[in-house]
Amino acid sequence: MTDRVFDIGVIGAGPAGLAAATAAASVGLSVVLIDAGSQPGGQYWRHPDEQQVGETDHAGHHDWTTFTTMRSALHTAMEAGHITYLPDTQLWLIDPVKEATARRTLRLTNSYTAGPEQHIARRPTEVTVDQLILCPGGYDRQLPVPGWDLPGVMAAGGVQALLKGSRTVAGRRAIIAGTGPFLLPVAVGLAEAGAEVVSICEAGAIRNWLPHVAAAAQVPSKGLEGAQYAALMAKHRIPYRSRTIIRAIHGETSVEAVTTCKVDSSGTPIAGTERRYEVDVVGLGWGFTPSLELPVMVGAQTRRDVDGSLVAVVDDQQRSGIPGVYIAGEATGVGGASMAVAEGKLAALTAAADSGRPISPRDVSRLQHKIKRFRGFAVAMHTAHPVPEAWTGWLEPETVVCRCEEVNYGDLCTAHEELQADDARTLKLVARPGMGWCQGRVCGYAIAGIAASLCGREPSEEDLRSQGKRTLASPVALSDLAALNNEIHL
Amino acid sequence: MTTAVESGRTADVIVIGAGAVGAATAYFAARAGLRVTVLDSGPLAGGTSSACEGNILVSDKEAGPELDLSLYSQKIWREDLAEFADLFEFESKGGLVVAASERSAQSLHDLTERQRASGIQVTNVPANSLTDYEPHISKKLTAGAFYPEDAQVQPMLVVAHLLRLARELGAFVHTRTPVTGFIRKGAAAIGVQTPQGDFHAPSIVNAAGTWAGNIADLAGIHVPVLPRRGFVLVTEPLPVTIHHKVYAAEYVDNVLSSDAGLQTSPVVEGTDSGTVLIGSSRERVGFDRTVSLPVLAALAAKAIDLFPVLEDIKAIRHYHGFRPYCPDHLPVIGPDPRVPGLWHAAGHEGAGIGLSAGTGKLIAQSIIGISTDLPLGSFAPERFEQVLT
Amino acid sequence: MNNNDERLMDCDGAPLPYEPGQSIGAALMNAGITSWRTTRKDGKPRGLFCGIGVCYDCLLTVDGQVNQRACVVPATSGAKIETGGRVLKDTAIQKETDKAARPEESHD
Ligand SMILES: Cc1cc2nc3c(=O)[nH]c(=O)nc-3n(C[C@H](O)[C@H](O)[C@H](O)COP(=O)(O)OP(=O)(O)OC[C@H]3O[C@@H](n4cnc5c(N)ncnc54)[C@H](O)[C@@H]3O)c2cc1C
Ligand SMILES: Cc1cc2nc3c(=O)[nH]c(=O)nc-3n(C[C@H](O)[C@H](O)[C@H](O)COP(=O)(O)OP(=O)(O)OC[C@H]3O[C@@H](n4cnc5c(N)ncnc54)[C@H](O)[C@@H]3O)c2cc1C
Ligand code: FES
Repeated sequence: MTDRVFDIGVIGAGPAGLAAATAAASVGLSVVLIDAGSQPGGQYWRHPDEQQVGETDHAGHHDWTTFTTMRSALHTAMEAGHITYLPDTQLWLIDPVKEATARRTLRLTNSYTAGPEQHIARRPTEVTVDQLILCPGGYDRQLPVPGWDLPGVMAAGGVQALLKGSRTVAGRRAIIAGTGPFLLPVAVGLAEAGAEVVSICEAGAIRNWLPHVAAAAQVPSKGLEGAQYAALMAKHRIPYRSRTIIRAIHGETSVEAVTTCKVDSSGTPIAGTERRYEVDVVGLGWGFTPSLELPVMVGAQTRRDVDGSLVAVVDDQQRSGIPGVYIAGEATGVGGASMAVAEGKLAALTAAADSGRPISPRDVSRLQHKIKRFRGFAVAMHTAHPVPEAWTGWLEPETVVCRCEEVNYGDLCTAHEELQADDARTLKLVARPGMGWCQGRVCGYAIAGIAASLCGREPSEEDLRSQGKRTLASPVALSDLAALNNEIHL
Repeated sequence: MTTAVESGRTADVIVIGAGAVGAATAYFAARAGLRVTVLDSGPLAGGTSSACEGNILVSDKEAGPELDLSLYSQKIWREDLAEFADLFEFESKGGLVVAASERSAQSLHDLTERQRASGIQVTNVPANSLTDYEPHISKKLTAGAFYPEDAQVQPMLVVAHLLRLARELGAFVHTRTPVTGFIRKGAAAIGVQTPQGDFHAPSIVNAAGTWAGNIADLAGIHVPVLPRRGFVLVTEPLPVTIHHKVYAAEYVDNVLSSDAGLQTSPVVEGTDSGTVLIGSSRERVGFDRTVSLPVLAALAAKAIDLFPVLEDIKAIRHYHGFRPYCPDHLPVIGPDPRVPGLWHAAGHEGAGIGLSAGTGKLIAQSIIGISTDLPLGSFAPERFEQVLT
Repeated sequence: MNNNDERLMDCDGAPLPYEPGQSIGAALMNAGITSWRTTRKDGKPRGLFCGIGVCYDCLLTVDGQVNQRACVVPATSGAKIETGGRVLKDTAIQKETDKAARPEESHD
C-alpha cells in the first residue's frame, strides 16, 4: 500500500469531528476524516441516506444549517484536496507512535462487508498521521432492568436513530423511560410518526420541567422552543411522569407490557404505586456515555465525570496530555452537539498552533468561553438528571446484566460474595460480563455500578476504566490481520 | 471485635501473591491445617494468571525436572482437586500437535518417542487421520501427535475458587495490600510490612510471579525472575469448531528456546465460552505494554494456516501478559537457605497455571516439614548464586 | 422491473420489502419482524437494541457475509439475508461441526 501521510487524522464525523476537520483544513492542514458511518453528521445529525432518498427537507432539524454549512465546507475542502474523507470506515487500532517520525499509523477496515457496493468498496487499510483528533462520540447509557433483553426493548437513541436514519417507527404503542431531556424528542418523534406514546417515565424529580428540559434537549428532529414543545406533548397527549421508573418488562418472545412504579429520591421503588401498560416498544435511556476505547488506547488519562461516566481528561485547549493527540465532543464529557462543535474547532486550532501554524488567540478564547458556558449547562443538566443511587435495587437475581455473555445479576452477586470479586475488573474476570461481542459498551457502566454497590462504595475511575478499555476498537477479520503479516516489519 | 489472628495479622504462613501459584499454595497450606494469610498488591488474579491461556500441558515437555513436576501436577489436578474440576472449568480435552513439513514430522516423531519413554501418553496420528480429531484442520499438514493428558482450566476461576476454599479453611486474603519490606529477626524473616500495617508469620512464601525478583530484593537476596511477553488473540464466539488444543510442532522448540527474539507459534483452542484463543508469542522486551501489530499479524496468519476456516472469523480483542522466567527456564520452588523462614514459589514461565497445583502442594509439605513428594533440588532458589560466583 | 420489485430483499427465502434509505434492521422491523437470532446460552431471541452498531444484538448473515449488524447495513435490492446467527461461512461444515462427536481417544 502506498504511504498516505496526513497532518491530522480526525476520527468521527459527528458534530465534533466535522468541526475539527473543517477547521483544521481551513488553516492549511491536510486532514483525513475517518468515520464508521455512511454520511457525515454522527448521531445528532443522522439523516436518511441521501444517495437513496435525495436531499430531504430538514427544516425541522435543529441546527441543520450548522450542519449543512460544515458539510459544504467539507465538500469544498475535499475538492481542494485538503480533506480526505473516508466514510464506512472503522478505525480498529492506533499503532504506537513511531519514534523515528513521531507519527502514528491508523489501521482501518470496512464498517461492514455486505450491502450496497459503494459502501463496501475497498478502502485504504492504513493511513499515517502527525496529529490525531479523537471525536468518537458515545452511545446511550443503559441500566439493566428485568426483561430488558426482550425484542422490542431498545435504547432510546436507537429508537431515534431508526426514525432519523431509516424513517422507521419501532412499534405502535411505546413507553420511553430513563432520565434526561433526550427522552422528550424520542417520545415526540414517535408520536409525530404515528405511534402512541403511553408515557415518558423520568426517574428524576423535575420541577418546571418543560422550559428547562426542552431547552436542553436541542431537539434535532424539531427545533422547538419550550412552549411549542409543551404544545406538542399536549397535542399527542403524552403523559410525563417524574420519579417514575420501569420496574419490569413483560413478554414471551417480544415486549407485551411493562410495570412502572414511583421511586423516592434515592430511586427506591415505592410499594403500591405499580402500573401496568400494554406496549410493543420500550425506549430506555439514562443519558449518554462516551466511547473511550480510542483515548484509552493512546494512553490518555480518564476521570469520572459529574454524571458518573468515564470521560477523557483534556486541558482547556483539548490537549489529551499525550503529545499530538487531542480529544473533542462527548468523549471529554457528555454535553450535547453545540459543545461538541466548539470543542472540535478548538482542538483543530490547538493542533495547528502546536505544529507551528499561526492562529488567532481571540478565536481560541472565544471558543473557550463558549465551551465553559456549555459545560456549565451540561453540569446543571447532569445534576438535575442523576442516575438514581439505589438503582441496583431494581435488579432480580435472574435479570440479565451482560446481554452478550448472558450474565445475570445473581451471577455477579455470587462472584462477589463467594469469590471476593470486589471491583469491576475482577467481576469481569470471574463472571464474564463485558467479555462478549460488544466488549462492555452496553453493560460497562452498569457493571461498574454493581461492583461498587456490592462493596458498599462509590464506583471508582478504575472500575469504569476496566470496562472502557478495549484493545481492538472494533472486531477485525483474522484474514485482515494476517494480511499485515507481509507488509510490516519488526 | 477483630483480633490480630482473626484478620490474619498473625499467621502460620504468609503467601505473597494471589495468582494461581499463590492460590494453590494457600489452599494446600490451609488444607494441611496451617493458618494462612494471602497478600496481594492488586486484586486477586491481577497478575499474569489473568493474562494467559490456562493450558495444562505435558505435550511441550521433555524429560527432566519440569516434566516430573508437570506429571506430578497433573496428578494433583486430577486427584486432589478433582472434586472442584467443574468450578474452574477443568476440561481434559487433549492436545494435538501438528507438523507442516516432512522434516518437522520427523522431529515430532522423534520427540514422541522420547516423551513416551519418559512416561507421557501420546498417540502418533498420520496426516490422513488428523480430521478425525479436528474436522476443520488444514489439509496440508504432514503428521500429528495426540496427547490425551493435555487439559485446560479457566485460570481466573482457579485462583478465585482455590482462594475461596482456602478462606473456608480459615485463610485470610487481603487484596490491595502490597508487601513493601520484610520484618527480620537476625537472618530470618518473621513478617512483612505493608502500607496497611505489619503481618507476622514464621513462614513466608514469595509467590509474586514475574515480580518475585522484587520481593527477593526486599529480602536482600537475588532471585532472577524476568518477564517474557506473550500476546493472545481472542475471536468472536463460535459454535464448537475446535475440539482440542492444537499447536504446531515448532511451538515446542520455542518453549524450550532461550532466544530473546520474537517467536510466534500458534496454539489454537476453543474455550467454554465459545471464543477461540490464538496464542501466543514469546519475546523478551521487559515490561513493555505497547501493542505489537507484527505479533498479532503473525498469530492470525499462523492460526489460519492451521485452520483455514478461521479466515473470515473476527478477532474481538487481544491481551498480553508477562511470563515469569528464570535463566535456566526452571521455576524456583522451596525454602531459601539465605533467609530462614522464606520460601519461593515463582518463575514458572509459560506453565505456571498447569504447575500451580503441584507447586502449592509441594510448598505446603516443605513448610510443614514432611518430605516432599518430589525432590526440590533442581528448583533450589539459591542455585543462581553459584552461577554468579 | 418496476420500482417495487427492485425494492425487495430475500430473507430466508421469503421476499422482504424495504424503503429507500432503510437499514436491513429497519426493513425487518417494518415487516413486523422484531427478532432474528437467538443467544448462544439461553436461546433468547434478539433483534435491534442500540440501533447504532454498538451492541451486536442484531447480527445476521447478508450475502454470505456472517455476523453483519442489521442496524448499520443499508438495505439493497436483491440482498440475501439469513437469520439465525450462523457463524461459519460454509453451512455444510458448520453442520458437521455441530454434530461432530469428540473422536474416540485411544492410546496404546
Ligand atoms: C443513538 C443516539 C442518538 C442521539 N440523538 C440525539 C438527539 O436526537 N438529540 C440530541 O440532542 N442529542 C442526541 N444524541 C447525543 C448526540 O449524539 C451528541 O450530543 C453529539 O452527537 C455528540 O457529537 P460527537 O461529535 O461528540 O459524537 P457523535 O455524533 O457520536 O459522532 C461520533 C462519530 O465517530 C464515529 N466513530 C467512533 N469511533 C470510531 C472508530 N473507531 N472508527 C471510525 N469512526 C468512529 C461514530 O461512528 C460517529 O459517527 C444522540 C446520541 C446517540 C448515541
Ligand atoms: C500469553 C501467556 C500465555 C500463557 N499460557 C499459559 C498456559 O496456557 N498454561 C500455563 O500453565 N501457563 C501459561 N502462562 C504462564 C502463566 O500465566 C504464569 O506462569 C502464571 O500465571 C504465573 O502465576 P503466578 O501465580 O506465579 O503469578 P501471577 O499470577 O503474576 O501472580 C503474582 C501476584 O503477585 C502480586 N504481587 C507482585 N508484587 C507484589 C507485592 N510487592 N506485594 C504483594 N503482591 C505482589 C501480583 O499482583 C500478582 O497478583 C501464560 C503466560 C502468558 C503471558
Ligand atoms: S442494534 Fe446494536 S448493533 Fe445493531
